[in-house]
Amino acid sequence: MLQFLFTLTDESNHGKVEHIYYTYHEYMMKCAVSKFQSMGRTNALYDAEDAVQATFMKITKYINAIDFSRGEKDVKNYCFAILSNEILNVLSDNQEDFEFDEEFCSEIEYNFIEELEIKERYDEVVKAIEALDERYSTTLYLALCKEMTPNEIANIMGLTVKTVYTRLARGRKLLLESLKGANFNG
Amino acid sequence: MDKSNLELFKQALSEGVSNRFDKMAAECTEEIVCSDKHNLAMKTIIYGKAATKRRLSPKAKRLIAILVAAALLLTSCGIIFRNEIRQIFEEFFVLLSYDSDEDDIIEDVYELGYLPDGYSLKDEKIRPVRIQYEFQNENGDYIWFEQKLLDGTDLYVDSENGYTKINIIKNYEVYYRYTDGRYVYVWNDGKHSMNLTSSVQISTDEIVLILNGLKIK
Repeated sequence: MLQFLFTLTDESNHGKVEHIYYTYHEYMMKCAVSKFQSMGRTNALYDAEDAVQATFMKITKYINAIDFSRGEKDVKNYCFAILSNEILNVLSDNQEDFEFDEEFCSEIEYNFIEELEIKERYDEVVKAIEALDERYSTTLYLALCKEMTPNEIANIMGLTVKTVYTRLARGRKLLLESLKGANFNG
Repeated sequence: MDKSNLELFKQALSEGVSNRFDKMAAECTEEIVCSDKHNLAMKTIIYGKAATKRRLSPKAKRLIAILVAAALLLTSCGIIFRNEIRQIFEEFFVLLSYDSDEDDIIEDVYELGYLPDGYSLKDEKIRPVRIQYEFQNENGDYIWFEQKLLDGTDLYVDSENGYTKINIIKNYEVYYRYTDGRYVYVWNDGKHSMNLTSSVQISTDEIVLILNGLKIK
């Protein structure tokens, strides 16, 4: 039996959650079903329902983390970042086996943006991010676009702080590698 | 670090993440039909328990219970046992006693697929633990249908309480009693107790048609 939340006493927050539900619920279900089907799950619909319910419980709990003034794309990306994490939870695949190396992580961060050469190849960078595993792209998104600290990301995602750092470092590394690969091939 | 590069990367990140999810959603071409349990769970998450269960606080429940008990003491026994008022109080206490922490609610809501000629739906009450329909014809005759969860505290349908087993209809053992000017038929399907109450006698053939016409809404 689900642990139902009754958390909203603020009418404006209630309206926000309702807006997200009516705007994105069906879309979330489709994303989740698509992901579970691609992972070969036999009961993709039921798994998707579990993931979407868990997502909305998190959205409701952390509703104040959503800034509606930034536009619908921001709201959508935030919601789907949580959804992708909940999908991993259902798949029991939300742990990182990458060895956390603080020195490596800080080294990556320093030159990362410059190495992207984003002004010269913006569209390539967008495509590389699209192709990146969503656990890395969404963690990078929450850290850079939502300006959340690793602790905040860890709380919302139900991860350890080390896992968040690992995903940030790995995401940057994979992004650079894929862009170098694109240059080599192109 | 060049700030404009950082802003550009944030923009690319936002666009890339959004595009990825758009692609994921587009890959799902089938129509998604969520289960009733999921829809109920989402309703509770979005609107909270109070909106779906109309729950009263324990303090309010106690106060109302005391007021109701006081009202009952002041009322004569003849009024208390009038069936119409008894039903109102019974319904009221069902609402008060419903504990929304319990898991059990009626999931399969039945409705009558067949009605005797001249009867039409006058009222219906669909609640988590009780379903009631009232049908009436132009003469004022009525038929009530009620469905509750089978919990062992229902009517003891035996001869000691005036019930007679009349038949097995559609795998139901149906019991009959005439009481307080009403014709009462009761049965259960293993999960729910159901009863049909009529102000006029209904023929056995009609009872068979009504029970055979029962269907899940």
